[in-house]
Amino acid sequence: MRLMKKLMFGYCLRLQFIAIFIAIIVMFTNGQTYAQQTMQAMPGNPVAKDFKLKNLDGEFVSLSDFKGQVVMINFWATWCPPCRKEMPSMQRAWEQYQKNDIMMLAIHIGGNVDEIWSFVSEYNLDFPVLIDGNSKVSNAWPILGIPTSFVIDKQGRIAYRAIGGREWDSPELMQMMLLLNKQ
Amino acid sequence: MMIIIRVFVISITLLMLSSHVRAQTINTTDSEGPVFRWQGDGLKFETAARPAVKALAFYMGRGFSADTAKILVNEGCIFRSAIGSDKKTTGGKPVSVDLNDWRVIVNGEQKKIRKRDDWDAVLDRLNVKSGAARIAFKWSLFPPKQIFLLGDYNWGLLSFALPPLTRFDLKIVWRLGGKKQTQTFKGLECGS
Repeated sequence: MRLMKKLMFGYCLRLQFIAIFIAIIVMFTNGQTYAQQTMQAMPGNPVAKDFKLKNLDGEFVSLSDFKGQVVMINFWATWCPPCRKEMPSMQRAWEQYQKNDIMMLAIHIGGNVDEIWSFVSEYNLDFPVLIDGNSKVSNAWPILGIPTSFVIDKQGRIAYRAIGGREWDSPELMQMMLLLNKQ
Repeated sequence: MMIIIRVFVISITLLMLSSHVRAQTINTTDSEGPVFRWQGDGLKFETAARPAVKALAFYMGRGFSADTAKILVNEGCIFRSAIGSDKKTTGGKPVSVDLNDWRVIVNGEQKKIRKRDDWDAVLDRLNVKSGAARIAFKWSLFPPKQIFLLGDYNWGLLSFALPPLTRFDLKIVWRLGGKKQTQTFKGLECGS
């Protein structure tokens, strides 16, 4: 009887430890990461405002140059930590986009060409980077903070918007892009 | 038998509690000092003081003169911050943040925080002409009003407009599906 009680007590103690352990795990996995791999449908799907900006080679690039293509547009700056963080995933996504005829344009707000060049070479980025030197385009688009990204459908309308950084090569986002590209 | 029941009840209570912990303040310390965090009622928030030396380097790197950068740091009380929707507690509702509702509390006195437009007036007073510096400054500050949907978050600097080393409390306000929520953090301190 005594042995039985001892065994039972030990079992209960173990149960209690497991409960506490699970409780701690659940509490701490509530998550401190911000980004979730999704985009929001843009209300009303407004027509994307055209722009004409210089790329790092000094050539003008317009959004209308990519009419009929799905285009991912990212507003960013070299000094913005979450912008920097999402850049490697953008590069990996760009490698997939190119196989599917999807365009990517990264619009840098303000800044100077040398600084952006050195950033681009440090991160080995080869998608087009445009410079919105006086932030006129950024002010005209529906963005409040950076990074903010938009996905333009083949009809030139804003299909999706993402506020904050993302893992652009995540299966969830890649699937959203490929599905839109099929429409 | 009583022991078994007691342990069972404690275990179940702990498990239930753990799965319902949705609102929590977690204050930790990183290499730059304390980090104040909130997660719950639809919102994820974190903020930490920018050390003066880093803030100074950031502003000078963006094109401000050393003198102006010093004024910005001494007047700014700059905190790096992230605000976003908390997928576990939004219940699919939008989370809206209006910095006009936020207050810093110093010695019992409540003050508004300094936003983009307020800083524009300061930069005019300081006769800052550099477009590049002003553009970077504007976009580095947290947007005054924002609505976050699932997956959205934003990064930015918050400016509490207090002298270096000032200790204060911060009352943050947000709306989850239109319902007002508040949380007060105690013992924040401007960088030096």
